Amino acid sequence: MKHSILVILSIAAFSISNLKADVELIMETQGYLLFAPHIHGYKTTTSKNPGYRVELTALTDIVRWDNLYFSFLTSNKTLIKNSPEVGGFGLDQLFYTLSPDLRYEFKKWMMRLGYLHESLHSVSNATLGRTIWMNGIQFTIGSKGSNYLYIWEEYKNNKNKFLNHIDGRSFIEFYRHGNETIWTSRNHDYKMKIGGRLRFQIGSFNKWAYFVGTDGTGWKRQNGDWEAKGIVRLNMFRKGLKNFAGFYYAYNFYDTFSPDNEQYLGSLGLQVIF
Amino acid sequence: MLALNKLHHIKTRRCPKIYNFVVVLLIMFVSEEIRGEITLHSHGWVTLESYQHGQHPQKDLNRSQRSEFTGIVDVFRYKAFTFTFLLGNTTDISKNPDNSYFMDRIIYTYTYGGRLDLGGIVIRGDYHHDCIHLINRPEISGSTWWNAYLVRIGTPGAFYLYLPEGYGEDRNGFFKSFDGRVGMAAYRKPGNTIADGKNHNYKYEFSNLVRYHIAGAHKFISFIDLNQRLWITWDQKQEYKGEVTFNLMMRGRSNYAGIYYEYHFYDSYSKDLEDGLGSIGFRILF
Repeated sequence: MKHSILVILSIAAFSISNLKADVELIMETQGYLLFAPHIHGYKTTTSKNPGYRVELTALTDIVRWDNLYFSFLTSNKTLIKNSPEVGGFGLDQLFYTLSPDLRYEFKKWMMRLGYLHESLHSVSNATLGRTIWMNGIQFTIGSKGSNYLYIWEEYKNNKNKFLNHIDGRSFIEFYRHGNETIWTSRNHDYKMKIGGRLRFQIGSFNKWAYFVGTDGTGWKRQNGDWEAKGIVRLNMFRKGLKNFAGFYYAYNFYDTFSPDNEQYLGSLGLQVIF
Repeated sequence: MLALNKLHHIKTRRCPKIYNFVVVLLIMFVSEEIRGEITLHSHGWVTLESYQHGQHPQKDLNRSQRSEFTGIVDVFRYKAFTFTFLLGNTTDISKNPDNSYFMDRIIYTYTYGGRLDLGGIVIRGDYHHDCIHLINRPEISGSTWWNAYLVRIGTPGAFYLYLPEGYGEDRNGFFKSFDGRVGMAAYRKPGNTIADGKNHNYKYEFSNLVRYHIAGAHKFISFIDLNQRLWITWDQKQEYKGEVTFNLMMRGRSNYAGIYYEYHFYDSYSKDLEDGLGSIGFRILF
């Protein structure tokens, strides 16, 4: 494990630079920064860490062959609690995601296949205890407008008009269990994850873009039980020269997912998409 | 848990700092009125690094891997001035005596400030916040954080942002050119609030970076960095960190990515001791 990621990335990058086929070395990084404090719901939530969420995500497209991209995803999410009911202010949990990723783009659609290594580190919550690893193969299909990678394109040429259309995507992920290695799951009994997103593109006025959406995700445990999360989100983003930044309001109307629960919490976020 | 409960000793706020959002929103609107340009251009770097040789100076700690994610957002530009903010984190993974890995600590960096592009000279000024959280080791006296006013002046090629421009299209041969920058930071005196600092005793920091551009061939470039930092504490003691980094990078469509070797030839910086350690890493500039 110690060198495997470095070796894989280095070999991929340096060997592909010598290929003569229509393989293009891109090295283009896209992603987002997100800071979102919870602004209401502290009294009614079942969350163990209401407070703040900070997320950094970068997807580096390493090579492209026709419309097929080979990429690498790195992501870090920090859960900071800030409420007297849960012990005051404190760093509570860390989520890391690493994933080699294949993406195929159609004109208006895209598909992704990734092998996700997610690790969940509990810092202050002793009841969660050990580190959770969620390794799984995930397949996603959806319209481009539902993905942050294309949202700037969606709005860059649209000025002062209602777009009035719906984008969506769905995904399914199967977790790998077995002997404990870096590639298998650890300390959880989730079997699969399934979910989707619906996004209504409202329109673009002056340099601002407006869209609303809902995300639903379900986790099936090995005993057949389900946990689920449902969120609605209102977005107001400002178009930059090549990037997108703005604000959103998100409300978790249903949440039973135990590792990251935000039931009945509403948050006001600042997000920069690059 | 106990340590984290003591963390920062700040008053718990139910209501988040909504005024931060108002300030950002105002900047966005006002910048248009003063004929500024909202760029929202993001740049930064991602690194994955693995320590290869050397004994960690802290004998009971066997540092293994480090990853770093730094994103800088150029929010708006007015003539030569660009208002920016930076969000970054560094994760250290260490090894137990039985060779199993554990998440050791995480360091967060938040800054906001500005950059002046004066042709051949770049000046950066930032209000800089760092906080260090140990994860799988006890924080005896709580977390560590500091706030500082930071100024850096240098040639564009000494900043990652301008590196792609400096190398331009394919260039074969030796560059034989230098870039450099110097910096100074004045730390706020440690106190007990989030705006001051805790568990450190630094007063000033001086830094410099010298970059020698070695050569280019096809899509590859190579350069070597000498990076030195000197800290002065409130009781007039000094800590120093010196490292050399050899970089071999490759140009993609719009970014650079590549590998580097870093050696810490002298290090007495107590917050991040790497004396004698050598590492190999993978870095993406975006």
